[in-house]
Amino acid sequence: MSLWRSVQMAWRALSHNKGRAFLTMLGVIIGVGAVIMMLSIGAGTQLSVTSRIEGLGTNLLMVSPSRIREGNIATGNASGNLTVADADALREVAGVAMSVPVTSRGCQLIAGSLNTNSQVVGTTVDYLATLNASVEQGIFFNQNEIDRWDKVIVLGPTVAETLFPDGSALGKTVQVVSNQTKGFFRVIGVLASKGGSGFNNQDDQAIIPITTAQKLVFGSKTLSGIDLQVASSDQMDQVTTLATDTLRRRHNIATGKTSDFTILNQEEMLGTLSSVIGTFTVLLAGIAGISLLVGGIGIMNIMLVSVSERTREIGLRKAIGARSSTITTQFLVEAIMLSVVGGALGIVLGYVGSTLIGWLGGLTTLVDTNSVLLGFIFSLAVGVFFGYYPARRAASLNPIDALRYE
Amino acid sequence: MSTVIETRQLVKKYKLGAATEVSALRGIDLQVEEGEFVAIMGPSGSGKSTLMNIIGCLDVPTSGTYRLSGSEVSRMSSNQLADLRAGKIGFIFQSFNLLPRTTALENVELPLNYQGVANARKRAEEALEWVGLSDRLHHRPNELSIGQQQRVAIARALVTHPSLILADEPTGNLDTRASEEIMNLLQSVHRQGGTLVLITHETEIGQHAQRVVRLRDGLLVSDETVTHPLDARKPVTAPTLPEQPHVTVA
Repeated sequence: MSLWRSVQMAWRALSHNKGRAFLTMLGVIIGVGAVIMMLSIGAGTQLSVTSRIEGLGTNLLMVSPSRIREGNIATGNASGNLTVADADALREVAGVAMSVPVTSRGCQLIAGSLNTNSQVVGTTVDYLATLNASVEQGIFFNQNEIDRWDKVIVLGPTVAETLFPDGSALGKTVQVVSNQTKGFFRVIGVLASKGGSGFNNQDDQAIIPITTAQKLVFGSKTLSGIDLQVASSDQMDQVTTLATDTLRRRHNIATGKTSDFTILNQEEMLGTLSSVIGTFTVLLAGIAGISLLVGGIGIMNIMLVSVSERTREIGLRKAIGARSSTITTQFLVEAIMLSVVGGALGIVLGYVGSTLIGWLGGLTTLVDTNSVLLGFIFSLAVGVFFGYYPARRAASLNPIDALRYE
Repeated sequence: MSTVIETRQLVKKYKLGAATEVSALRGIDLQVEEGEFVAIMGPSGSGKSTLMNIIGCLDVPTSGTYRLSGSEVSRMSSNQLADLRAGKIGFIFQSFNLLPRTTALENVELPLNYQGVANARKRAEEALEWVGLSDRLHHRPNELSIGQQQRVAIARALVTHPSLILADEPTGNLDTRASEEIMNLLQSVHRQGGTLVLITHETEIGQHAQRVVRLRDGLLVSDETVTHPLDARKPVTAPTLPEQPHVTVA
């Protein structure tokens, strides 16, 4: 008996009871749909994170303070390790194009009756270049303003939008309230929007000269980090090593002791984030996969019912010469048809669902070929796995008993 | 003429529980030649169904031998038995056992599909034509009278050109007129050289055969030739082929 014939027969057997076939498939439809939606959220998030980190600027190394540990005991404070002098020293390291000290804190910004809570960043002129950002209105502060501790401020577009909805930020005054002090700043520029939302939103920040930040606003000389722009991408490793040596020497850290800072490069950050997102994606898809498993059990259940309903038919088929293997094939094809048609509908559901999530949920979603392929192969496997037992059961029926079955 | 069925000391025992055994057949010697029309008769419990199952290669004997057209069946594997059933035996059942929701034509095609025959459709059409149902090819069983359903079943049994046709109480569910039609068909098969074994408990139906074998308690008790078989072509009640079959409402 040809396979095509078996497929035709299976199609007829299933289409006879469409309602039941659909309900049976529903488990697989939802399972495959859920897996594809979860994978699409994972892939989409990965994509948006990657592009956001790449938007930070290329060839960027980030130096940040870390706790000193001796054994398992944290002996030093995390902050306070890095200074502007460190940043100046790193500027002299071979291969470093820019070395930008950064100190930032969450502050309240007030303009008239409006206020917002944003990250206030104290930094130097080069910050704009490392950020890969540009000023849309007005200007950025220059070295003179840094030297004079001027109270000037450049607003991110989100902040400007919030405080000055009419778009008239330039020249206005903004009050910056930190937990140390408060002061009035003159808006000299507004950054161009880089898009993005959620964590690490570069549109939601306000930038002031580092001197002003340390002396007048935060009252502290410590840095939250130093951004290093490396001249070319093939020097990243070399610069990392040199910068580490320089800082360890400056901080008098003995050989064998751990550093009181860490140097991250973009690739590492990307790798770390990717693996975190990957883990979450696998977790979510795994949970979705459980519903696929439940769908498979549903198929097995219905196939068992079908085998006992069609006992006489099986008996007849065997009496007129069907081999056990032919009967097995027939029922297996039916189960696979249920799961594969369910899988195909599930792929459609997953695609539509992830598009809707993209629209309504504001998440980036991406249905890639691999996840569609995965969904399809899984549904096929479910059909084979859960169809096999009922099919074997049908094939093992004794034709005499089966023909007599009422 | 060659021998189609040859059994020697056929014994079939069934286990009922751990210790109890029931002997359904207790040593049957039966020989059926090609072209014979044999009726196997006996009351229920006589072992005639068990005998039919073994002759039909649905079951194997506990001991003894059974040769079907010269090949030894009693020790065959289930796949070999299936192939034998597909190629050499045509079954006609009391309850027809047609596939529901499947047209007459497809029902008749089914055994050919299992054999992988090429021109299955054409042969199925011919078989249905032969039983007088050429205008019912695409009807489903529930659109046919029970007499017509049994004729579809006969066409299904004949379509593979089997060496042996086994009819198990073929008229058991039919009224008199339909029974006559069916017996007429079976006699036509016989006249064209077919070998038939008919299982029945109705004496009158048995009298359509050439030879009647009686079973009682698992043993062959008589084997006699019917001197004047009833001819279903001259029935008391019904017209016969090649006229169009009438429709009986079940």
